[in-house]
Amino acid sequence: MLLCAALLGATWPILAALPGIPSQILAGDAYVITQGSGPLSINTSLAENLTRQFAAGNVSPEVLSLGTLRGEPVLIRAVKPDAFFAVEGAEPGPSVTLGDRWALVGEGLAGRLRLSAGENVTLVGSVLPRIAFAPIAGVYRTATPANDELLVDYGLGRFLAGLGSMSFHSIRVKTLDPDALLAFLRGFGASAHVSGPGMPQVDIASSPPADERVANLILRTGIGGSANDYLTTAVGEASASVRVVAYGIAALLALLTAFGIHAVQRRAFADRLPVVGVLRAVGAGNRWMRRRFLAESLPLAVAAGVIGAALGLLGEARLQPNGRLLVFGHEVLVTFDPVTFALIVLAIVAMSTLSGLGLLQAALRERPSGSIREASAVEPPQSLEAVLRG
Amino acid sequence: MARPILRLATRITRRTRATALAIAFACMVLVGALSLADGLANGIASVADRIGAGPAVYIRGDELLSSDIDPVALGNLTGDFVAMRVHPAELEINGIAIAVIAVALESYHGGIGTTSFPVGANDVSLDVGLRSRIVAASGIPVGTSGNLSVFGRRLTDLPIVAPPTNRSELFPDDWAYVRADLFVAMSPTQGGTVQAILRDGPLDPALAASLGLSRLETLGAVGFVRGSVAEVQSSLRILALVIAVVIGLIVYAAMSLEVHARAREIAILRSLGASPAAVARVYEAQALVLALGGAILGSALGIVVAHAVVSVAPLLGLPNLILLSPPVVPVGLAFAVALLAAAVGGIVPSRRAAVLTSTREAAPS
Repeated sequence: MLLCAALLGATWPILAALPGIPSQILAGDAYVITQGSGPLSINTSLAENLTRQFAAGNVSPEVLSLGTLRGEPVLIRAVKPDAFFAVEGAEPGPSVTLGDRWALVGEGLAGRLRLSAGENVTLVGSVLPRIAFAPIAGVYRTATPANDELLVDYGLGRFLAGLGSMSFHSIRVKTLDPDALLAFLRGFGASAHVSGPGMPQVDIASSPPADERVANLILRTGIGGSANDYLTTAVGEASASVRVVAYGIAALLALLTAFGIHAVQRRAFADRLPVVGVLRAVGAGNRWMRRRFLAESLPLAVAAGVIGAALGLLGEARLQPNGRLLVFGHEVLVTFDPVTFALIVLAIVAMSTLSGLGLLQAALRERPSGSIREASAVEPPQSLEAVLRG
Repeated sequence: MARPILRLATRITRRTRATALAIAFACMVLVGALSLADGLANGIASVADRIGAGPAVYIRGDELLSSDIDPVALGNLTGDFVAMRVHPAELEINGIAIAVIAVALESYHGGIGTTSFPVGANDVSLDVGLRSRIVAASGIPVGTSGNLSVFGRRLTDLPIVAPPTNRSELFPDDWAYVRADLFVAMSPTQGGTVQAILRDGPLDPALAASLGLSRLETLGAVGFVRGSVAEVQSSLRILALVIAVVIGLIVYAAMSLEVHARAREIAILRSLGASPAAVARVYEAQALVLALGGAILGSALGIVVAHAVVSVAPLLGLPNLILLSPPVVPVGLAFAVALLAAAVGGIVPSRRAAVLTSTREAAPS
């Protein structure tokens, strides 16, 4: 049971962290403004007005480009470095000087691909075929998924993304007053989707994101024919897909560990079968037997669940530097989540209890004398006779 | 002794059948998940191959700038193509020094390479974007000569000429163009090698492999999705480890129960002269037989489940990008995991069976 709890303890926290990755990449802990279904609005004019309203350090206009770097998937984000560092809580490496063409690499990505300042790297376009080179000016560090990204200047980012010279994909705003942000956007007349911490998605001068899948739209109409707010739809789809896969794998793992726990319980119960017979022979009722079983097994199951889950989490944390799990080019960052921990313990206790009650129920269906007799535990010896007779 | 051992090992009871089914379920999960992930990778590759991704770009290794294609090997290539030499450089012009990318493009027709641009042997052509950067940094119009440093060597007073007249959509507008001969003259070893080959169509895969060339995916979104699916595939391999532990646990419990229940049989076998090793082999073999049966059934079910998912997905409105191929690797992995885990899980019970010596000791408690 300890082993099964450790298995769940090592895997479930990762699976629980997976569905949040796409929205973490897009928004992080800030409010994110993306293009709505109306006229193109996420541009330098909106960014400048937001900067005046919410202070420069709190507004980060960004251009996102999906690409590969040395064969590995990587998100390339064109940003204004100071604003990005403030929003992400990132720290640049020492003595970083940026020219008009630059790239900054996240510490996680730099470690994985062995990149360092002074190197030039080859980048490719996102939705249009492109080749470009970027000099790495330095390394930055952050505790968010952005630690696995490459930052570039706006010129290079727009060339890779095939975006107009005044446009952005998203503007992230860090504010304690989201209502003021929404009021500002309504007053500005921007067509946008806004989402952020503790706030459901708000559509301003825009229809809600289309239900139709981006892949279907692109296949039917071509890349140029996709809706203006394809980014919001794509992130929603990516989150839903990852959620289905993660929860599906979590359920299958639970079922597999349930098999394991049941197998071990069955073995342990075989030793105690005569005891069940004796207790019933001296007058123990079925309900008393079940209560007795629960009183004996529950503390053990809880202890095994807690210790096993803790061991699994610790083991997973120790493996982190070398055994990192990557999704969409970003490392899955696992932190201690009390809800997931409680769920693991609950699952282990439930599996153990249900399995034990099932075995007890089967024993209670037997006559007490059948449980006490040693002969019943042994298979009929026909096969042995066959062996002895040759 | 082999036949009796095999006969004893292949006894199927309700207990062992349940164990085999549990192993089959675990193998079904593994084969099904890996088949679907492999199928998704095949589907994406199939769609990506049909998307117009511009010219096919081939390099050696995974980084264009450090790629080094032997120019002699270019003679083996058929059809028209462009050999691209690319090196980071420093340009001194207008009193400032600026980091640039220096590029030489050599067009090959019928096996003969020619450089049409720039014309002069020492000419440096600055593209429009690079000119804007220089003007913005220096505040004066671009000069007519400059110094270029590449490979640690510095060439001075090179003529600066007009931007290229026709630039591929693939390239940005801030490169400096020189003739290939200039690179070779500056460093025959570093400047002589070609970094990339650009063609309208893909190369014959066998030829590309023989030259050690791999295709650079210039459409990043496609490469990103391919890479992300590859990440999922490698993560699913970790699932095999979890399944191995569970199978080992199940087999251990089942074999322990089997040894416990057959204690008297084991004692009789021993008293009839069976060696401890022979008794241990019976239960180790039984563990392997169970794992083999479970793996066969589970693999078959996994293949059926994967095909069922692919068939049902369109009915639920989900786009079907999965192209299933014969799941050789997933099935092989399932067999390896099941047999290895069963072998390990069966060691303790089989050793316990081997040390049961007398009927009294063998009697169940």
